[in-house]
Parts: sequence; C-alpha cells; structure tokens
Amino acid sequence: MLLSTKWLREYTPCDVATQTLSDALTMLGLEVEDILHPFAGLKDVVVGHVVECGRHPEADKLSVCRVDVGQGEVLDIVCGAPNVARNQKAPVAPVGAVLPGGLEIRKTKLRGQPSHGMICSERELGLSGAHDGIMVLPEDCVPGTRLVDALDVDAEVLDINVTPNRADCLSVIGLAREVALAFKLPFRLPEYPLHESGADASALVRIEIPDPELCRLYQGRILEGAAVKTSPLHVRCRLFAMGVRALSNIVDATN
Amino acid sequence: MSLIAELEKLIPDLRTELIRACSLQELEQARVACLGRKGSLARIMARLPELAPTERPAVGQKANEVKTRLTELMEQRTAELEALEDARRLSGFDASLPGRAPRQGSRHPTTLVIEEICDIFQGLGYEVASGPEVEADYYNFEALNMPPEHPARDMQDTLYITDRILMRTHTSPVQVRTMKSRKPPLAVIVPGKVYRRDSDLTHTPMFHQIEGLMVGRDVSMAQLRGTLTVFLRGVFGLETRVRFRPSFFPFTEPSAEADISCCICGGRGHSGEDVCRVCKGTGWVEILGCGMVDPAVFESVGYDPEEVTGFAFGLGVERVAMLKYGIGDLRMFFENDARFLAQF
Ligand SMILES: [Zn+2]
Repeated sequence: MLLSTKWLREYTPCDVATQTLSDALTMLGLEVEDILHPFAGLKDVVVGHVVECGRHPEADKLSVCRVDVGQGEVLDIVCGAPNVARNQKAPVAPVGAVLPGGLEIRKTKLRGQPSHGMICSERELGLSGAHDGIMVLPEDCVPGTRLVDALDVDAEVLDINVTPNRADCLSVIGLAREVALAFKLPFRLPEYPLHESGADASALVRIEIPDPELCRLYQGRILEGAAVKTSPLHVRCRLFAMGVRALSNIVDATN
Repeated sequence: MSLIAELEKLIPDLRTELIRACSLQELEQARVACLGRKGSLARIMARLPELAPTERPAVGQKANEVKTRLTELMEQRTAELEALEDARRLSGFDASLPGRAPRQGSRHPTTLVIEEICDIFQGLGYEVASGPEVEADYYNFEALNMPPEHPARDMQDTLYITDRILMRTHTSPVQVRTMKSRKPPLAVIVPGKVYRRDSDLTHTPMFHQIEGLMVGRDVSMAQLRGTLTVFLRGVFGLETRVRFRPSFFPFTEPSAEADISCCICGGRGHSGEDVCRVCKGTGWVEILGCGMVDPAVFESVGYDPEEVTGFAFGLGVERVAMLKYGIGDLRMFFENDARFLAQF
C-alpha cells in the first residue's frame, strides 16, 4: 500500500517528520518498508515563462524563445514543440539539469541559434506518455519556482506492508484513521457534496441478484453527460505518485 | 637343410627376436610366432611324417630339446622385461616423502546456530521435537487456521507434491503434531528444513527454521517477551535491545515481529558516514515472528482454549547466522566452499 504524506494530511493534520510518522506506523503493525520520492527526478526542473517566441530563421519546425526562469534570468531556448507560444508557463530544464530518462541538458546551438535549456513535454519529465507538445502549466505558476513545488505534488510516499488482517488499511482513509489515533489528531472526511437530478437510478436500471448469499449488496449510480478526456493535472500527478499511469478521466476516476 | 638343422636354427632366431622385443606385448608376439600353434616350431614338426620311420625318434628328441631351450629363453627375457617395467613404474616414487594429511571438516554455521539455539532453550526446559518435511496440507495449513481459500496462504510459495501433500513451508506443522500427541503443559523447540518455491539473491528453495511452542495454564504475552528477550540476548549478546511490533500470522493472535538492535552498526543506523546496509539506517533488524497461539489452533488439536494458553515463535536459522557472523550472502551457506566453512 502506497501512502502519500500530502494526501494523508487531507484527512488528518499530521505534520510530524516523515521518519517519525514512518516509525509510528511501523510500531502500529503497519510496517513502512520504504520512503519513496516519485518526483525526485524532477528536482532541477523549474517553471518558465515564455516571454518571446519567434520562428527560427533557418528551420520551419523550430521556435526561438526567450524564457524567464525567475530571479531576472532570461534564457534563450530553441524549442521544437508545435504548441509553444508567447506568454505560456511551462516546465524548463536549465543547463546542467538531468531528466528522469538520464538526459543531461547542455548548452548547445540548433541551426546557428544558441539554446540554454529545454522546455519539456510530459514524456520528457517521465510523467506520462504525452509527447505531442510541451506541458503547459497553469497561468498562476511563478517563474523560477521548482516544478514540483508549483504543482504541489505528492513528493513523499510511504510504501507500507499491510498484513492480511488489516484490509481496513488498504486505503488512505484507513491509514489516516490510524495516524490520527497514533498522534491524537482530529480525523475528518472531506465533504463531497452530491447534486442529484433526474430520475431515480432504479427507474433506469434493474439489478437482479439471483443468489443473495454470493452478493449481499450491489450499489450503483447513473452518471450522465460525462465526456472522456484527459484528467486534470493534479489528478494525473497524484496517480503518477501512486505508480498508476493516467489514461482518461473515466479510467482514472476508477483507479 | 635337414630338419635337425632347421630345429637348431630356431634358437638363434628367437634370441634375435627377443632382443628386439622391448615390451611384454612384443615379447608375446615373438612367443606366438615361434612357439604358438601355427609357429615356426609347429610348422617344422608338421613335416615329421615326411621322414623315414627310423629317422623320426632322433628328430623328435631334438625337437624336445629345442623346445625346452626356447621356453627357457622366453622365461628369461620375460623376467628381464618385467623387472624393467617395474622400475619404470616406480621411478619418481620417494618412499621417504611425508604422507598427505586427511582434511578434517568443521561444523557448518547452520548446524552451529541450530545447536546454540537448542542449547539455550533446553536450558530453559524445552524439549527438542521434530516432524516430517513432506507434510500433509492439513498440518501445514488447515490445522494452523489457514483453510484452503485463506488469503494468508499467499504469503508463501508452496511446493506441492499432490493436492494434499506438500513440502512443509514452515516448521509450524510440528506444533500441531506435538499438541495432538501430547497433553499440556508442554514446551518444545523444533529445528528443521523448510521449503518454498523461491530462489534469488535472498531466498533459497530450502532453508532452516526453528519453531518454539509453549502451552500451559496462564502462559502470557509477557512470558513470551521475557523468553524471547533472554534467547536473543543469549545469541546476539547481552547489550542487544529487543522490540516487538504488531504483525499478523494466521495461527497466532495477537501476533508480533521481534526486531533486535542492529548488530552490524550497534543500532546507530550508520557506521561513520555511511548508512548501515544491513538495517537500512533504521538501527533495527527483523529477527523472528511470534504470538499467542490462536484459539482456533487449540480447537483443531483438541485442547480447550478456555483452559490453556500458549505462545509460539519461529525464526530463520540462516538469517540468524548471517547477522551473528556478519555473512553478507545467503548463497554461501549452500555452496559448500571449504574455505568458507573452515572459518567456523
Ligand atoms: Zn545497522
């Protein structure tokens, strides 16, 4: 069972050091086998603000950009992505950064134009398979901030060995209950207000249970008007931290 | 040439052949050529009927003389050549060299650890018990509160012989066998081989476990802690700290895992600047599983859980040996490298 310490705090305000938390869980019989840092490979990547973006004089598919990476530093970067545009916020790997795939960013020249970094796609960051363009960040990201801070990702994840008698701890809520008790903290379930409309589900679908011994309860809800598309960024990042590949909003919701 | 002359000529002929022969094999060839059934002597004798009857006795006598002489020559040369071959075989042999000392083996570290652990528990009044390695599913799982669909069976990879017969995956079936054949109170320690379908850097398909069981009136978790603390300090040294963590085993409730302070880094979690590799920086290493015998197990062996309580524990012998002797690689226990074994 993987438990993000950030996710845990949505249920209980536990702000002790990760090692202290991990020791406490272990002594509760929820042995922490490892403390993972799923985004460790992105420590060098920062938020950049594309302040200028023009055609490369020698190549149709390349753009020559000037990217503000904070603290008054503006980098010349040649970018090959079709979606790069002025005023975008995007992840930038400056010279010296090493990306999760092992690629080290160096000072280079592309068709005569100097390039001092790389504007990254999600695939280059190891976040997903998306490589049809650079990853565009929300408007309010501040240039120069580390990407992992700007996205407020689940930076620390505990790998917990849950024994077969503790199936109740195979969920973030279950583990949060244990943590709340261990540190004498309040435990609260977030509120998800439900807006019901239209006909009752039972009017639309009939469920038959031929053998109630084998299935004591079947619950369902009808959801209408959902369009299959990519999940929001924070959902995709969370799934990545949990070692699950984001696919689409519907699949991701069930994950 | 008369037959007599031909007979006489056989002697110098054979002499020449014998001098040429320099092995027993060549000597035999010369003998066959001269004295064999189709040899030169036999060929001359075959012509005896050509002679007048009066001449025959003289030639026959000569033939006997020649044959005796030829046989003498053969024996002489045979003796010479045998002596030569013996000398060749013995050359390089020095009877005054000291002999090779037989290499004496030593006890295997696994055996040493089993003996040491059994010694400690025998000192505490435990008896040593044993059971079969080829075991019925019933003793290995079912009687230990693991019915066929129990999820805890997933914790182990079992080598099955038939659907109901398997290689025991732990020494715990001996708990059941002991309780079924005896009445409480009892205290046994069970060393033995166990088998799992697992083979990599840190797992071998066969390894050794030691199981302990104490059953009686008012046996308590406090006694379990006391007993195991005495035992672990006996093996790892008096300064060893012991902690118990809640855990889960289907045949004990409550269950715990016992950790000892890391004997490689002294429980500090690091040696100098480096994080200790054995305890991964935590200062603790897991050493055994234990717990209070589950009432369901008492019921399956016919004990009354209202009358008796008990504790059980189990540990891996190789793991203890690795920590005790600072051995980094599990496979060394099974490779039988004499240079490794001689160090214990
Ligand atoms: Zn250590």
